[in-house]
Amino acid sequence: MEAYSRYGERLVRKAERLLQSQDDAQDIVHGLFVDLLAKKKTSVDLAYLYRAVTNRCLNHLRDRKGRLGLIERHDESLRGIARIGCADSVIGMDLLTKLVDKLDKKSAEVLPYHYFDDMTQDEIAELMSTSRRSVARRITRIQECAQQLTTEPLTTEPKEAAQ
Amino acid sequence: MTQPLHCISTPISWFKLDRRITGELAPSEDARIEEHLLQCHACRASWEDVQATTRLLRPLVMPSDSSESFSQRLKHWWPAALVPALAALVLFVWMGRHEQADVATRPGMGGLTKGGKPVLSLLREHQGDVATDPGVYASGDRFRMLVSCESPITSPWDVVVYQDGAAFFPFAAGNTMECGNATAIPGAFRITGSSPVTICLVFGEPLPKRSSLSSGLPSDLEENIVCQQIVAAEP
Repeated sequence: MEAYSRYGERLVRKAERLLQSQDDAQDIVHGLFVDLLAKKKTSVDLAYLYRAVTNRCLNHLRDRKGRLGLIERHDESLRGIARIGCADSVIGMDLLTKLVDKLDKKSAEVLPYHYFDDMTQDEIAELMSTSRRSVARRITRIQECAQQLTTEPLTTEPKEAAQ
Repeated sequence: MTQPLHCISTPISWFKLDRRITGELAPSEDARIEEHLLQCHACRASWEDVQATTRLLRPLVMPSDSSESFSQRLKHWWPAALVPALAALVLFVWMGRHEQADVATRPGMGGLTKGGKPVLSLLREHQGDVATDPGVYASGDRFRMLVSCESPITSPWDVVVYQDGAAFFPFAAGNTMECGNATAIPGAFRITGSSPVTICLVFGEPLPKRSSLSSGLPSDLEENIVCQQIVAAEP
C-alpha cells in the first residue's frame, strides 16, 4: 500500500509524540492501515491519516486498560522536541489523560493538534473542516479545563502562520 | 520532561514539516518555511528530527473479509457432503504431523498430543484451493486456524504471527474459545511477503500479554503456545 510506505513513519512518529510509546504508536498506525486495506480504502492523504491516527490515539487514551499501560510505560523522550511561542505551555501525559477524559470529543481532538502537533488555528480549522472561530473556542475550553485540573493556568497565544 | 525550545514566532507545525519531507508543499510555502528555519533554532531542530526519523514499519498482515465468506468459499470448492470427511481427514493429518510441525518451529517443544496441549492446524486458501497444514504460502494467501483439544477446555486466546523478526496480532485481543475437536478460530488473515512465517496460538489463563510476545516466543510460556511454521512456496 503506497500510503503506508509513504506516510507510515511520519504517522508512527506523530502517534509517539502523543502516546510516548513506540509499541502503542506502531500498533495504532498498523491497525489503521489494516482497517483501510480491509475497506479497500487505499487512496488517502496525509491530512486524512493525521485525523485518523489522532482519533485512534485519543480512543486509546480513553480506554481504561490502554491508558493504565501507557502511564506505566510511557517514555517522555518520545514526546520529542516541544516548541513553545511566548506564552504556550507543554502538556504532560498525566494532564493529557485527564483532559481527554473531561473534554468533549471535538475539543479533545483539537488538543493534540494544538499542543502536540503545533498546528495553527487555521491549520486545525482546515484539517477538521470547521471555522477558525470554533477552533479558538475549543482551545479556550481546553485551557479552562486544564485550569480546573491543575493549579497553574495553561495559557497560549493563538498560533498564526509562520512569517 | 525535556525543556521546551522557544520558537521566534509561531512554530512550523509537525504536520507541515511532515508534508515538507514528503514533498507535498507548494514551492512558495516551502521557501517561507526555509526562511523561518534559517532564523529559528527550535524549528530547525524539529526539522532535523523529522529528517532523522526512521521507524521500522510492520509488514501489513491483512485480516480477511470474514469467516463466513471463507466457509462459503469452502462450500463452493468442496461439495457439502465432503466437509465432514475433510474435518476427519484434517484431524487424522494433525495426529500424524503435529509433532513434526511443532518441532520444526520450536525445538524442544515436542510432546503436544499427549500432554493435554491443543493441536494447531492451518487451512490455506490459495487461488480458490484449500489445503490443510500446507507448510508453504504464497504472498496474499488466506489462512484460517483450527485447534483441537484432548479434553474440552474454555480459555482466552490470541494469535501472534512472526515474520522478519516482528510480531503481528491479526485478531483483536480479548477472545475466549471453547476448544473441542477441530474448533475453528473465528476469522482469517492473509500472509504477505516471502520470508518464513511462524503462526502461533497463545492460550491459557491468564493469557500472556502481547508485550511479552512482541520480541519472540518466551521460553517460559511454551506450555501456553502452539505454533506452525510456513515458508514461501517456490515460484
